[in-house]
Amino acid sequence: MIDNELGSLFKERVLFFQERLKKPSPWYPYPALISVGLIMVLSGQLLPGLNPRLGSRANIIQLDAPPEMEGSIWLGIYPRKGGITLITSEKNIFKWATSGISPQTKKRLVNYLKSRVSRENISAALTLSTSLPKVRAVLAVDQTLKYQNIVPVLHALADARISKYSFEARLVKN
Amino acid sequence: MRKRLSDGPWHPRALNISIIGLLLILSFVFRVTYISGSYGVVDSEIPLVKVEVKDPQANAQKERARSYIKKITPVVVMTEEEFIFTDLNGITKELDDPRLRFSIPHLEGSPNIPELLKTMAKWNHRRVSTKKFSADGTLILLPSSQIPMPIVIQTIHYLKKAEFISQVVLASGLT
Repeated sequence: MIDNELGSLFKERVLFFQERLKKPSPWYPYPALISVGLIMVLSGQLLPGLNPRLGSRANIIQLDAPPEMEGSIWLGIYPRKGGITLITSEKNIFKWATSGISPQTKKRLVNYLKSRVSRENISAALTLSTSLPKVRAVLAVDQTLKYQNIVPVLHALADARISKYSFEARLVKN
Repeated sequence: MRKRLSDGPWHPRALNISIIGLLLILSFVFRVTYISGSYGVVDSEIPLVKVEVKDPQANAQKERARSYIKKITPVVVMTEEEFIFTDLNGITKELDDPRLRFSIPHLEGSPNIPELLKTMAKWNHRRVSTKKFSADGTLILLPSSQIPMPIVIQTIHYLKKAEFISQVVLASGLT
């Protein structure tokens, strides 16, 4: 008795879906909207949290360097459209021409670095503990850049009172 | 042959947007799996000016410098043709005296870092033993502005492997 009821209910649902799928589908934008929504969630929230290097086009050097400590102020620097682009782990982007950085861009960069340092100092004061990597900048520099392209970043670090910095390198796998 | 349940065709625009969206998601996923979680670092430092801050508290904390930049601090100038090494005195106060500076030409365009370190080690040993001072391991690297960054990073990395160098200060560069 119960089997018959379930069977008829199943048939009824199948017939309903058959009928519905024969009609023009007004729900067609929804798969696309789901895809777009997933991209927004993944790119905006989940993926940058996994790895700050996402979105950076810096192709860095490979060396047998000591491993990096987590939690540093990460900055990716690479050439793009005839200029230099700097991207932070929070996806802030600073751009300048290869000939030199404008005072406005430099000021914005220095302000960003100062805000990162002050944020770390406040959290260190609140937790009564300090973390050395958090006041260290790590520069992921593209291999095609020359030293003159990096000098403005070093000056910005000095202006933001960051005295320790490192160049990131891809580890050599043994 | 299976019969399609739906007669309603998918809107081509929706199909295209869905495929592009799926490809974008896949590219993110591939990028996440491709990016390594661990990286290496080559450290450098920006020198600080020491400013004494009076601490009125009973347990006054004093910050002590690990090392100082002095006139005897070694300097390596890196040009597109050669390394020139000397001490800070040799490129400032006694710039006129060529005997204070030593040149290591690049080997077929590549920086000859092993030769630089070998020669610098001898030079450092001689000046430490004759002038009776203790080297604190600080070195100033002054690259030319046109030197590619991979070479600058590699030079810092290999300079720090020398026994008598513990930290490298990158100077603003030659123009």
